[in-house]
Amino acid sequence: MNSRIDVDILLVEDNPDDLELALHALRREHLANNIFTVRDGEEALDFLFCSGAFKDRDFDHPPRLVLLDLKLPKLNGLDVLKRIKADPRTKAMPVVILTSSKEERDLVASYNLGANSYIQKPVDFDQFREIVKNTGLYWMVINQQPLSNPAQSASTAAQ
Amino acid sequence: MKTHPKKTIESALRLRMVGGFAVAIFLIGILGLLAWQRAHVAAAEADLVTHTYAVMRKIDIAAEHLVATESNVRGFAMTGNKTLLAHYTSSLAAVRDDIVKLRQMTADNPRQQQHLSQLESQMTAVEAYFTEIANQWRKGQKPLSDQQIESGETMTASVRSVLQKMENEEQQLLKERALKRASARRVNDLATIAGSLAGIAFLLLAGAAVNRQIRISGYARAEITALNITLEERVEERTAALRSEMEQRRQAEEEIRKLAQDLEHRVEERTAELQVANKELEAFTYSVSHDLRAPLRHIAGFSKMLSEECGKVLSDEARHYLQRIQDGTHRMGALVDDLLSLTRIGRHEIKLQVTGLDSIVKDVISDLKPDIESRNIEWKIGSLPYVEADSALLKVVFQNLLSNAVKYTRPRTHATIAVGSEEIAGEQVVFVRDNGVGFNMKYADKLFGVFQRLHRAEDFEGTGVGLATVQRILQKHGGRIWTEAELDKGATFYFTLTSARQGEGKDEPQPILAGELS
Repeated sequence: MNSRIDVDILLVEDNPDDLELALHALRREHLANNIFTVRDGEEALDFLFCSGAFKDRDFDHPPRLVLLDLKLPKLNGLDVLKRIKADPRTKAMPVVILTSSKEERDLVASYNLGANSYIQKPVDFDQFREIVKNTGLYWMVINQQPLSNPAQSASTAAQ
Repeated sequence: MKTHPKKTIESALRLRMVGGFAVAIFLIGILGLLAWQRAHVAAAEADLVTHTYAVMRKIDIAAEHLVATESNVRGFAMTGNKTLLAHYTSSLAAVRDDIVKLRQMTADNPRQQQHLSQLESQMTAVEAYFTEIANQWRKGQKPLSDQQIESGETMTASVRSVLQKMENEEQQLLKERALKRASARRVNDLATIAGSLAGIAFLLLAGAAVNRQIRISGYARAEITALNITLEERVEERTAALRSEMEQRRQAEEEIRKLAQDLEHRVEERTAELQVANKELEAFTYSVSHDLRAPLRHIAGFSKMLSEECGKVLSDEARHYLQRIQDGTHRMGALVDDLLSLTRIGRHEIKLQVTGLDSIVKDVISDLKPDIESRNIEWKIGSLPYVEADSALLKVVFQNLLSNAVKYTRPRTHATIAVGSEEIAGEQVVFVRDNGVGFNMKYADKLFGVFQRLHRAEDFEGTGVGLATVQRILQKHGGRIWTEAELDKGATFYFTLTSARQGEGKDEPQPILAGELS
């Protein structure tokens, strides 16, 4: 894994069909140059915290957006979300829940853990593409984020 | 005895008893009186006997005095002793005195008085004789003639005989009195014995009566005791009956309590079961929303991509098939979504708040506007009440009812949809009426069932879940829904909300009929 390449979007998705459809939609809108995919929660955390297979990755270059499915093998989406939002270094990272579930309890749990957005994948593919387009547009283009890691900035400011 | 009235028996017995005692007391009294009288009589008789003995003694004294007089006068006549003369005088005086005394003592006895008179006259003769003798001595004719002596002896003898008679008389009296006393004693003895016997007899009778009374009262007591025992037995029986009744009641209560407990237990069990079922349903819902929708999405996505990217190289037929696949996935997506919303409503806890139905209806109509721009629909919105309900759920109700009205009036060039409220049988009822295609009322009971449709999908799209959802929502509000329709004329949906407060605050419990319809 080349650690020098910046990742725009980390797509956490276990289902290959969903993965293909999502990638298709994202690429079609040309919203991201580098989309990296991981297939379960453990891999997602390894990538984000530069451990395991991703121990060589540069922690200071995090993805600009995480698209997170909830139902994942090993660690589920909520566990991943919890780790991201519990760590001050990754807390500011935008995490968008992209899931089939419209269950109230999933919504509540996600927002309580600090999810930035919650999107239910619609059955209609046109609608799905529209949603993916809008989401990418918002988080990659419209939304403003600090240039550096907020935790690092905070520690620098303190010195 | 038991057959007679007790009061009569008692009074008769008392009468007899009192009678017996009275007779006995009377007899004993008489006996006492007799004894007292006899003692008196005996004392009097004793006095009489003493008197008789005194009289007899006086007679003897008189006789002695007479003898002394005779011997004194004879002595004087023979000796001329003056002392003897003096003795003779005093003796004579004594005889006289004795006679006087005797006359007094026997004053009650005429025979003795007669004897005394005889004695007095003889004594006069005797005195005269003695005086003659005395005088004879004084004259000097000392010796007495034989004739004189003889007459003197005769005289004294007759005096003595009179005295003897008197004594005999007294003896006779004594004898008579003794006889009389003996006979009186006999009579008395007889009377005493008879009286005593009679007294004893009556006492015995009275005693027997008392005894009988005691026995009778014993019977009566026994009877009372028996009655008491019977009464006590009855009381005990009744008490036992009451006790058993109480016991039965207690047991019944216990049973009821047990049943209630059992029921409660069963309710708890059922609740637990329901909770488990709810959990399962939730899991199922989650699974449906997550797992069933995913492959559907994939089919929809890939068929779309296929038609977009390879559409040009496909035959018309292939494109048609692809379209059918896409339509199918679309329908199934809608179906799954509707089903999920129906189950969500089931689990949804209603939040009551005062809601104006008017504003909800307006919201829903404005949401529908984009789809009906090309349609000629006349909306007739009447006055709608404020109700206490879950506004989000009520919106779902109107979304379904109004979109149905819109849908089923599609064939009409001029569609009329009326929403309003009216009072039917004292109940505030909200209605949605359209002049659409309507339906046959014989299928009305199927209308609110899940997946139940009265129209063909080619004519009117739909999942058959909408009205089931509406009914579920109204049920949760304690209300009900029903319809009136005619095929090709239109349909009217009526519904009530129990918790509806229409201004004046009507709060009557409404029967839930919605459940009966499904």
